[in-house]
Amino acid sequence: MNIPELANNCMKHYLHVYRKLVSMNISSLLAYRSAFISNLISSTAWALFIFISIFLLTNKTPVLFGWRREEIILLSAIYSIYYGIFQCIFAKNFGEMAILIDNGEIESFFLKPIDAQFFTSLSKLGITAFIRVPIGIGFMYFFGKQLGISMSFFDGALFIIALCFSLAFLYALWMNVLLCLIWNPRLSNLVEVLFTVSGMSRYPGDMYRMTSEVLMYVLIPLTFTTVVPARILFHTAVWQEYVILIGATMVLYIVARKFWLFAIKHYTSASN
Amino acid sequence: MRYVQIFFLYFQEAFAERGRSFVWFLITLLNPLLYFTFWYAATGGGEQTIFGSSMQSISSYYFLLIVAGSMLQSHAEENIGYWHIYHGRLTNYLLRPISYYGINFLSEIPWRIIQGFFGIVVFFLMNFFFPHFIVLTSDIWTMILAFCIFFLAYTLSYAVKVVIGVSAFWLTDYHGLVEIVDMFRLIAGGFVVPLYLFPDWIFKIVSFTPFPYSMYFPILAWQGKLSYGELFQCIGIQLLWIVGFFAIFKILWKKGSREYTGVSQ
Amino acid sequence: MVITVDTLSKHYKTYKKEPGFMGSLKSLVFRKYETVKAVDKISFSIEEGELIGFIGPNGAGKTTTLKCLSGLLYPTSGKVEVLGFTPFDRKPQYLKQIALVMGQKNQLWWDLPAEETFLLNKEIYEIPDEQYKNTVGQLVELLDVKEKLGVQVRKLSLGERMKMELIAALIHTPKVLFLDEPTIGLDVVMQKQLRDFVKNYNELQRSTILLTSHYMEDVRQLAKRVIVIDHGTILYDGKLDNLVKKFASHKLLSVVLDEMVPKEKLEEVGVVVSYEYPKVVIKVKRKDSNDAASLLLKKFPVDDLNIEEPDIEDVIRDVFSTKNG
Repeated sequence: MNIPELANNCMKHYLHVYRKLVSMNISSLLAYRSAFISNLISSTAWALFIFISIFLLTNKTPVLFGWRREEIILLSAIYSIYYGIFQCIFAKNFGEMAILIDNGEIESFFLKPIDAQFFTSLSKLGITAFIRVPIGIGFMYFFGKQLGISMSFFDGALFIIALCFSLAFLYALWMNVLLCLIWNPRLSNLVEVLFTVSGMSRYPGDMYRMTSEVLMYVLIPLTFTTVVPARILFHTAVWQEYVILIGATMVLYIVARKFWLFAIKHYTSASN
Repeated sequence: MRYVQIFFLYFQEAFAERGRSFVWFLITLLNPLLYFTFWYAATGGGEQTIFGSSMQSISSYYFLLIVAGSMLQSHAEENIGYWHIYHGRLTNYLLRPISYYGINFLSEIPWRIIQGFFGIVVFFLMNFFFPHFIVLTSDIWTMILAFCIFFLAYTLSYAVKVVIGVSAFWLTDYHGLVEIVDMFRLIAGGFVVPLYLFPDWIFKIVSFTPFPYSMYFPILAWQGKLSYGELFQCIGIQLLWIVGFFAIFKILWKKGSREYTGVSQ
Repeated sequence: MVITVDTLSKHYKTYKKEPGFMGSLKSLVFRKYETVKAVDKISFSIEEGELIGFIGPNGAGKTTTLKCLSGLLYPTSGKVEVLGFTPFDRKPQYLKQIALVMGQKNQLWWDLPAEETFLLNKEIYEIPDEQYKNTVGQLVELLDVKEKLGVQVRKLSLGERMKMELIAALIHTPKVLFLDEPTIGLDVVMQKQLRDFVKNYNELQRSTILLTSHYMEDVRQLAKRVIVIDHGTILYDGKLDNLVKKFASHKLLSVVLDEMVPKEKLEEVGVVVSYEYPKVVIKVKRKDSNDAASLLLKKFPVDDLNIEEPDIEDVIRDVFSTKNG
């Protein structure tokens, strides 16, 4: 078998496994109706909270640090879309991984003939969290109309590519932080801090620059996860920002992968 | 005396988990700092006022929010609802000759003290590096009353969370309820913006809930923004809410402990 | 050789804290670290089809050894080879040939029937449909769980869950099976069922099985060869029968008396372990057993006499308690 065939078979194998995982997650969710409704309510509540808080903050101010109020709300809408996908696909796994590392029970993932990072990152879905996506799209459409935004097919494609990189950036950031738990398993609540850190991307870098240039530069890749897609919508995209987002994502992802391989070597599971 | 001993034992446990405490504290630190950054940028670096309030007043509010957020927010519902009722550990407490309400209260306080310590350290650091950003009352009687309000604020937060926690006797998954209450608490407690920046009609509505009294008014008390009359009024309302929620707890506890089967759900 | 272990060591660094509140404060600044040698230079090898009992007290290093062999833990030093692979590389070809089942930990999805997890493993291990059907059919029949396949895992009893765990672990017909206390917490009936299953499976599939257990009955029923480990080092590696001969310093004379004899008189022969007329059990030194038996027959009215080896549990207990001082 040559390399393309091997790659093709490998991809088919992983797709089959993922398809099975998705179906099991859906079955698991629907096994308890009350849990399903409860999760849906909480996901909707937090999805709306983002917008309520931004409305409260921008209540009486039409322009803030060079951004119009509607543009800032649009940033939150974009954040809601890719963060909703992140919550749906990855976030639950990170939460579980933290607990499994703390309890020394993550080893069952290491003994399957499938990439352990793939398995740990994708085995569980937070399906109800996907509600953030249509909520985000709704707000994006509404405020986009208010700003008179129109999108061509090419803009749409660039926007989706940018969102994909935003998603990958967030994944890599979380993975790098989570792997530190291998050496400090008791700090499993570090995952909760990441929710707050991720939320910092809802605001443009210009806001952070007013406080500190250093802060802005540190947070630039994070803020670009919403700013770059937003600028595509506003037709003010700057190719350098796009490149920075892609570059930062790739670097962070490669670091995450290498860190994963290094970290699992040092994993010492709890005794029985 | 035994409650003192128990408190010290719980303190040891919490102290052993100081790393985790610090991580929880980071969450209560980052959010107010984020909002402070927002307002600082929105006012062009503190040059302008915000609807009549100075940047100094707003920044004091958020820096005190760091302390309040770490000290005044109870998380009793997680222990009670999830670990005790859902996972069946309530059995240990039912078989002991000690108040369940009291023992949970004692177990939480060390965590609040440790996280509050981090908050106070940060607050003093802020005061040292940015003294022009912080405004606190200098009146000794106001400080004494503010201490009382702080303690009652935590007790009120605990009373509310205990009631949410015991709802797990009936709800197999009560997290939806917890999240809704949390969301409302963050908004109505002034965690996002100070309530005096709300439209009047919204402020009137949230004043009828317990949440402003567990965060917003304690902060205002320390800022010296409440008169003596308002301070006493705040204390009175806090006491009323505490008694009210305690009464609700008693009713729910009596009914719920009969439903309890002692096995995890 | 299927498994070769050569001077394997696994060390951990831990620190001690003094009790009390002051101890907690002190540990903030002063910490005394020590190295725990969970496994220390152990060596052994296992042939294909062997069923080995791996026994030792809590904290002996059994689970750590299994985890090193399965590839979960990276050894501090030494060499490990299983099926020609270095376990820690965790190559997919290696992982498809082994299975690790841990008594108290599970891989089954809690809110779904066990069958769903079987299907997931089918995809992961790339098992063809026909083979999957046959294997699962066989295992389900051996373990008698056909009625429970469609039941949510959370609603199964502990024994049923353990059976499902075994099926999930054996779907890919591994060549090497590591069983870490598989019967822990199960009732005696379930323990026997599981033991019978493991024995049959070993005979049918010729798979190599390494089993750790606290229950001597597991080892007695299943393993012809045992490895005894304590404080990270191997005390004994060989046949179970020879273990008794090597470590038991005494034998038991089981006597049935014709007439009543006072206990004190019988103590001239050895230590009277039990005295319930007409049955008496006397403990004597191993090298003196024949002489003691002759003396009993000569001096006392004996109806029946048997020279027996001590119970293996007592032998192991003595070994470990001697080691611990």
